[in-house]
Amino acid sequence: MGKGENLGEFELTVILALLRLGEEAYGVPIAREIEASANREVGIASVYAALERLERKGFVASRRGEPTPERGGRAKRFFRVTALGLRRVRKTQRTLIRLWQGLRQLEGGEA
Amino acid sequence: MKAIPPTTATWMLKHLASAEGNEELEGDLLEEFQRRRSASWYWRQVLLAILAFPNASRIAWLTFWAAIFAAVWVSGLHTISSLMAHFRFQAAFGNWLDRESYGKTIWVAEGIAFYLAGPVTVYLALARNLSLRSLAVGVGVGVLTIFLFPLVQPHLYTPLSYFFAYALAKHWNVTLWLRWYDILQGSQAPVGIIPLLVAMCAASLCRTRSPKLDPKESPSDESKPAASLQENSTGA
Repeated sequence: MGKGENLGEFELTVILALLRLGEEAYGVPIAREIEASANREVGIASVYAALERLERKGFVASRRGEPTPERGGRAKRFFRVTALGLRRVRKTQRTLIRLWQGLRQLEGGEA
Repeated sequence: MKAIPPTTATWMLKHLASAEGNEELEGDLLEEFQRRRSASWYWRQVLLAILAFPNASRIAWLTFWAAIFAAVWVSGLHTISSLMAHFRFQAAFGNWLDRESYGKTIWVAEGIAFYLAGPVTVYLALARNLSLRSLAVGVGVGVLTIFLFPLVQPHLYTPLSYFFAYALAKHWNVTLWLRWYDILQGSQAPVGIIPLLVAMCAASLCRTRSPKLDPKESPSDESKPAASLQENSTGA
């Protein structure tokens, strides 16, 4: 596995938010989903930057929607996770769970 | 009623962020601004967008004009502060700069460093390549222009011609004439932008271009919509 195929922390967060949102995911709901989970403000541009990296790696794919008047005639860009992306997330999940198991420092209460 | 986001921020987003994908980002920011109605939030998002997707050519132009403005402004300030320091020194130490050879050396070194700093900084900023080689090229360009320009137009360039005139004035002991020459120097200070312009031309010629992004991959079976994460997660 090449270095470029790894998932960074924010990329993993974005891809998980995409999976939770399903097919109609674009910048605003993705950012809101991450904000609700992480309880902090997220830059929409940071979300797009992560999505572009993920698209280059082949982990997500995108399509442009129709322009809408409530967005000043600007179109949305919808994203979805690809099969390759899903396989990478599963692999990352398995790795993280294996690393988490048996860690006494993380058991019970807040660190 | 539909809220209008800060127009300056929107202008910056349109002109300083990369055009590719800008439409979707603008639409998203406008949509979210209608919900939040916070100008500070919009400004933060726009600045972040410019940092994340900079429009390199437009930012280079902005840097160009900002550098020219800074060069003119700072040259003026430098001349004024030099004059004030000079007369203050004269009052306090009795013409210290004239009497002591190291005083003159410090003044010459400070003048050359001042005029060298501008071209080198702009060269590095425009070349966007902070390596030892680019620093050496920047210093080389600065030194060459500083020492070659007075050969072409000796009375227009500040640090070297200043000392020529200063020596003459001291020899003739004409303080008033020196004072007029100082005022004249103030008006000629913007000439210091010439090495700056040469450095910028060198930078634009030597600029390291960032590699182009890979063309979009052709759709394959890997880009099919993902199924649920749950289906295989039990093996973890």
